[in-house]
Amino acid sequence: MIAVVFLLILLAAMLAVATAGAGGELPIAEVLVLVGVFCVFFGAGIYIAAALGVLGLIVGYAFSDRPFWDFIGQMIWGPSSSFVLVAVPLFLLMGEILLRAGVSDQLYRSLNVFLRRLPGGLLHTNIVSCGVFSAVSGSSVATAATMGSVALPYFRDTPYSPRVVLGSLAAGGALGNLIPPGITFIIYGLITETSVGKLYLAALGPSALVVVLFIAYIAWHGLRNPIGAPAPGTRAGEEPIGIAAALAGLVPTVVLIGVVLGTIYAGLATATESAALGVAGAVALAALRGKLSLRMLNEAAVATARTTAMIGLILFGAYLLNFILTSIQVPQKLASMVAGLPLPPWAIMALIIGFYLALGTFMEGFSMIITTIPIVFPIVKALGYDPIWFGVIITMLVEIAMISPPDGTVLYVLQGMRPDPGAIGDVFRGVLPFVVLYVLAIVLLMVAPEIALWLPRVLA
Amino acid sequence: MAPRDAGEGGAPLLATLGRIQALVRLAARWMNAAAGWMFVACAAFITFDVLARNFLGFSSRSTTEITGYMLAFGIAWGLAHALAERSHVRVDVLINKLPLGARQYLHAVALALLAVFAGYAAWGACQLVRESLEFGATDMSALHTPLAIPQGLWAIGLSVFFLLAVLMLAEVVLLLALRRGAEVDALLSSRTYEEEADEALAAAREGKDQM
Repeated sequence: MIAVVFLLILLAAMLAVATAGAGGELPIAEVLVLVGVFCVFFGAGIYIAAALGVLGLIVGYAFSDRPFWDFIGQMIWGPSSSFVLVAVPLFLLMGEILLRAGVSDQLYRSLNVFLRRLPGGLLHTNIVSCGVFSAVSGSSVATAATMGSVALPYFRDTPYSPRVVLGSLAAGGALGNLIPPGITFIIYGLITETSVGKLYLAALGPSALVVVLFIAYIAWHGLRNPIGAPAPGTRAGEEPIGIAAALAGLVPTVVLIGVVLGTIYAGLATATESAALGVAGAVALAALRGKLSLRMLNEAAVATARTTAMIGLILFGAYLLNFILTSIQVPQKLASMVAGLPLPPWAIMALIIGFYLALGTFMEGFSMIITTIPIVFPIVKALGYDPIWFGVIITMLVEIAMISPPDGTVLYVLQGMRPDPGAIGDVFRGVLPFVVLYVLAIVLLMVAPEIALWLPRVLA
Repeated sequence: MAPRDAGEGGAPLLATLGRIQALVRLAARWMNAAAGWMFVACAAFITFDVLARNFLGFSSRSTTEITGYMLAFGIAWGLAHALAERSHVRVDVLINKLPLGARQYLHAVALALLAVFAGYAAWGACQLVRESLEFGATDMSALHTPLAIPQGLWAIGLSVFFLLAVLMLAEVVLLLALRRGAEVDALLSSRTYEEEADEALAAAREGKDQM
């Protein structure tokens, strides 16, 4: 609800500015029709792809004097057959295979051996294991569900505060798309024609920043609320494992991540190629653990195809709409109007960030990016911001939106899984410090863009 | 309390429609599996190409194009099944709060617009195939693949998606006429995050149990 109110205020402000004459040649009629129809479509629960596509058709028939329908086939064939986009189903497939290979369990157990002695103990494992797992899984909801089911039994009958336990799981899961290789970057790279490899490089600094902030907060929390002896790090009736066994448990996952990221960063492979290597590695890992079967592979393949079709259809709609909008010059005019506003660029950027935070509370991450980037990206470029930097910011905003109370989906998933009864308010209060830290990281990135941009520039 | 005003022919028509739709849904399920295995094949193909390039000194020199076609196939052939499984994303915060009376019509509108969009997409795809055939267009890779082949397969996927959307729309309209709105809701309401979470958990459990 807060989100909707914010969006309405933003819209009103835009109209006020436009009618005050700052816009000049802004196509107000087009923009109004656009925003109006869009609101109706979204309110009525229209399929996002259909909303975008039909909107494109309406705008085309109403305002375009060219036979745009002759280009529809070419318009959607482009993203359909893009080599960059091939990485998306491959990373999804890798995640689906790993999910079924039972690595999440092993990962959590092994990490515990190393992290449980730190102040804050198992809470660190929550952050790190969620971060690692969500890096290879396409969906925040799937990550929260999987890691929640693995982690929550460890906290049974321990003095850990349930709030922080749930909060750290949500926060860790939210890291997923920021830590390379996230799928959001591929889609952003495709739409904006930015290098995915550079985006992955740029994401390293901010990822490290957020992880350090989270770990520091948990250590601080652990020091203030000591829980006595280090937690055993095992579930009831489970033998503790030694350091050697823990290392052996970590090695396969670490090697796999090394293969995927190492080949990208060393320039040996494009993101798509390393995704394919990742699938091969995941299959090998599953075979090593005796989990590989035709049935398992089939399930992973079927789930991948379904998610890819979902993303693909939205891309079709977005490309169609964007083609027609660009042909009547809406994004270009909008960008030059916003750039001409008597506001400093950082204020406009702050508005854009607020817009994404609001939108993200009720929209699924991928659809949000695909829907808005074609319009927002020209504005950002006109303001003089770096496209790579903005890609990192956008990804972080999507993640924050997923865990922002009171709407974040991930929070409800965790609430549904907790073994001890309690109000959803516990999850909200638990995640809030992490949301604040995440926003702090974004502010730091705005003040010092070099955190993201230094690495791609040095290695370019 | 039989819904007499819907006409006596409504129910049998619905049954016939259901049988046709079941066939298309079955086809969609198989097409989705084919799409999934195409991605597995795609991963294998790229892996082989990367290894061969680095260690054996040769490459197919058409990886970019071929895998692009595999993706196009994968997306298009998965579309219909994703619709049958209610996986296509909708913004449903508002609609889920409405009473069934209003919701059933909004479901129908959503599906109608999806069918319109799918129709344009399928038509555009078929036009593209026709043009490629007419001009004998091939790609720039070493293989000189005639574009009509991958585009044709892609157009088939989009057409089946359109067909299923139309069939489901016909069923929804009939159900509305027969005043069976609850079934419309069951047919079309998006998957909730609970369903999504349950599915992930089931998959992860399988990883644990098969020891």
